[in-house]
Amino acid sequence: MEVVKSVYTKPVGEDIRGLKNSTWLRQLSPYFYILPAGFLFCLIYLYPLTEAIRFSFSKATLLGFVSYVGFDNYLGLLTPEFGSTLARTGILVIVCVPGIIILSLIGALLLNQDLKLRGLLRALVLVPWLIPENLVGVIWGWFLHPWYGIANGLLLRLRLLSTPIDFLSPSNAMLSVIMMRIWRGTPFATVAILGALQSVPQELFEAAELDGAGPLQKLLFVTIPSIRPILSAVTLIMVTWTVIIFDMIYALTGGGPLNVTSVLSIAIYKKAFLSNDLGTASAMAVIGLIILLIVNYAYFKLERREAS
Amino acid sequence: MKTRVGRILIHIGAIAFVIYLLLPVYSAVIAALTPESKLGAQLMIPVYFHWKNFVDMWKVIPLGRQLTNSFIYSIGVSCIILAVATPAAYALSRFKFSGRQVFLFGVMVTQMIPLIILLVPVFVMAAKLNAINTYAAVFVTAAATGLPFPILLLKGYFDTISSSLDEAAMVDGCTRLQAIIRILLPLAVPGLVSAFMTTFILGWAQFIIPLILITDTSKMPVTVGIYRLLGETTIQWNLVMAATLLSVVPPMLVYLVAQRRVAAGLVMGAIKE
Repeated sequence: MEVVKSVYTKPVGEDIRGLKNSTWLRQLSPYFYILPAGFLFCLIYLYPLTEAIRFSFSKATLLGFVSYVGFDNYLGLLTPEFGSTLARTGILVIVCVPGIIILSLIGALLLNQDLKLRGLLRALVLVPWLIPENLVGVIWGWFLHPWYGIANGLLLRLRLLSTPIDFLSPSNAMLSVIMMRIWRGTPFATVAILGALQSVPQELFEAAELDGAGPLQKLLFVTIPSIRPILSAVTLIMVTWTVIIFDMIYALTGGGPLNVTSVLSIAIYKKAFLSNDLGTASAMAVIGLIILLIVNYAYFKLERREAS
Repeated sequence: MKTRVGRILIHIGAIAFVIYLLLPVYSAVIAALTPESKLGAQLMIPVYFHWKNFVDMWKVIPLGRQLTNSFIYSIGVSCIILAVATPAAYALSRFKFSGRQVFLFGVMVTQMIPLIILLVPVFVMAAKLNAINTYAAVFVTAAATGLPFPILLLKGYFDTISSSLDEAAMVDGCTRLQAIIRILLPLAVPGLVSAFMTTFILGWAQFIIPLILITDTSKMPVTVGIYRLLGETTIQWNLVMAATLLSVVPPMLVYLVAQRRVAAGLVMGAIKE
């Protein structure tokens, strides 16, 4: 935390304005600019979050607070059910995030080459990102439809399958959710990595070439280290977004069948809105937030160590 | 990779990558052009060109009403975000003040909270204010959730504009506000445009917030409207896909108009700091 009392970054003009404004007013002025945003955050995040934390220690329903119960809600989460919710969320993150990063890195490296129609291809990459998240779930519901869907149609025509598979059956649904998540995350990561690739100084490659480096060595020892800050930032964002993912899965599977795709946000939704148990739902959300804070903290520690 | 074969392989790879990203959308296009009775054929290319789907879909859901609503939500959310994010970004770019780091940390934490759990207290609050089923409730809630990225995006943009410009204006007798309005904002128009476009796309994508705060069907956005079609006993996938495709046209158009800006805005707001 910074303890800074000087208000102006640049003292120019201070003398002139100082004659009119008192010092304390000038010290307050940054807060005037930040006030509307701060108010909005307090209204929609800070207050509801404190409520959620309070509910997590309470018996509460959608109608509101009933009574304080101490840690009962948290203790009540020590069940295999919540364990598997966290495990499913973990699997989603552990499979999807590396999947997104590797796929996007390959895509970005390809699109960074001298291609015909490069502009068009790059423009098309972002299409999945422009679709509202819940409609991604709707489109995938059609794409993976057991009888009509193109996914089955394609696999059958390529003779990779002899009979159509039910992508949304209890045994396959999680895999389908993973594929959808990777698909949706890839455009963002590709565009971010592509931006980083374009800013790698060309001289580095020339120097590496003079030293006799081949394409693979250039990739491993020049490209990847140069874009590492972006790669890790994208990774962190993808981890965060995947932990709190909701719309897409809600629209594709609703967490089913038999809860096999019931990841954190879906489980919270079900507890709060279907079981009317706001206390337990809030405790789940608090645990999710704590996990993400730890992940983010670890990331910034690592980043700082890398930077120094 | 300067050989001919290498170049061809790179082209194949790049095209395959783009096809992968378009395939599910392409499958939606096929469905939207196929009569319902022929959906079972699992077509790979559209052969029927049954444009009537795009006529019939208006009868299944009040699509016109819902698209208008989505448009209202998008514009409202974007306007609030710009009005609030611009001064905040200005403060973060031009001032050092105690609490700055706390603010930035808070902005980051907002991204880590499952939105769904916040919506219960927000719902209770909105109910007390008699704001359930009002556009304003969705504007405010969605604007708050979409605020962090535009703030960081605009802060980054303001940082690239030398502060000596607005300070010179202040030396010449402008007040700080005048310096912002007359000097800084005109220079920041490209940044403001990209912030507006990205927030428009975000506003268009709103789903759980209106799902919970809006029960009046006449105020539902198209995202919720299409989702509700899936709850019916028989899903007419050809019509659902036609409606879905139509409803992604506005964000696509915004993207087409200012492709580079949107791409930079979407990504950079998220990655800076």
